[in-house]
Amino acid sequence: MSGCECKTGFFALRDCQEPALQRCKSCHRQMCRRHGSPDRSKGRCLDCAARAEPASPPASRLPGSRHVPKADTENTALDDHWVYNYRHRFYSSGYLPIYAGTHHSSYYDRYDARAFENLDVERDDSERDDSKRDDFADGGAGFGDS
Amino acid sequence: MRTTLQTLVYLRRLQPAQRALLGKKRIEGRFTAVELLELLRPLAEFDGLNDRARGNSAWLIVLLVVVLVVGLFVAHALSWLFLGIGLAILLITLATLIVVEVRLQRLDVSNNLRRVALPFFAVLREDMPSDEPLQVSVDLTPSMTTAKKLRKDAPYALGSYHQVVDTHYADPWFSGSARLADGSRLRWEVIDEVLHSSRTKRNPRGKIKTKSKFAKRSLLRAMVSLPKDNYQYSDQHGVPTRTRITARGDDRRTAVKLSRKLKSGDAEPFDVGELIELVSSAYRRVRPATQGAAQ
Repeated sequence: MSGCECKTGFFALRDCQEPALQRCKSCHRQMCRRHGSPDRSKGRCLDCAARAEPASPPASRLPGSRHVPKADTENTALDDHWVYNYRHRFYSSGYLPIYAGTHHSSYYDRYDARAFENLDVERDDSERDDSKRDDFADGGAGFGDS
Repeated sequence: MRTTLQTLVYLRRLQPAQRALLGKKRIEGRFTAVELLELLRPLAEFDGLNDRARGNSAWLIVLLVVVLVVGLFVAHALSWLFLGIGLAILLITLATLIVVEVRLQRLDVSNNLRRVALPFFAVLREDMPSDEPLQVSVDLTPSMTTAKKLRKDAPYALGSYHQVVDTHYADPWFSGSARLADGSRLRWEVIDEVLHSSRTKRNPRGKIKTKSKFAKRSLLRAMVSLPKDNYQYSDQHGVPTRTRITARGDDRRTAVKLSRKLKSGDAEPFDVGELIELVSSAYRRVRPATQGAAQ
């Protein structure tokens, strides 16, 4: 896989079709221009930027009902950063997204995504091996243990 | 004053199509999600600035009127020549502020745009192919207009209020449909029902006092038509919700109808999370089909 490894979608996740431009400094996934966080200095993807945000605002809740995370739309630009931030909070509140991509990434496993069983998925592990080979081929240093 | 200037500068930077929307306060047609977001984000930002500017200007106008009245008394007691120029400048500033305030008031659109419609489109963009248009209709005029008035009830007495007049409004302000990337079709509709209660009583000093009370009920409806090749629907779902759900299927699709009512004591927009939660209720009841793939 040479494209962006971030997943697009809200109710159902799918592969992003855009070409990758750089790697996220936090999760090391390849990301396209759109999936890069607006805060360029940190070099993170939108997903990692969302996970790094402080805890969500209080949720609206009726007795016995499901938690609905507040969208906090008043003082935001309602851009991709807001969408991915809200997506993370929505998934964390208990929504299990449908996973319809062909490239499996363990990045989204924490949301217990519901995947299609019979898809011809590229597994994350083989992808990691490929990416390492690419790193070496490009003369990159790769990622070592510290 | 600074926010007012910022708002006016921002207004000049808007595209002609965006300024036209501020006048019409209605968005209808077929757009891709990206087109809609590019069109509406500047409008939402302008509207936020506009709301803040008008709030600040109102206070400034009150302050200037007070200063003007005090200045007139001081000028009368001292010298008109001494204070005349200052008062003239004050009067011109006040008149300008009032004109700007009225103009900005005319350009104000419903907060539903930036609190509900725009974030909903931003979420839908994620689930739609980039070149697929969605059909939308967004009415950004206030809910309590003559055109949206349903009826006015006969006056009645309630407790210490000798006259209560209830006026009912219905505002079907948001609807649309979209075809999603997973093959599902989505239709949604939001109707705000507003009750304006004008209550009049005589206080112990014999003065007539009237106050207004509002109650709003938002009816959120959606239909998600899920392809059976991709999704298996199941009615069994453990978590209770505030959403009413019915499902009907044919050999190709399962149509899940969802509705939810939200009550509020003011006219503020509901949180867009409620609409997103409504649509997600359909996806919570499905699991990926074991036959067929979603691409």
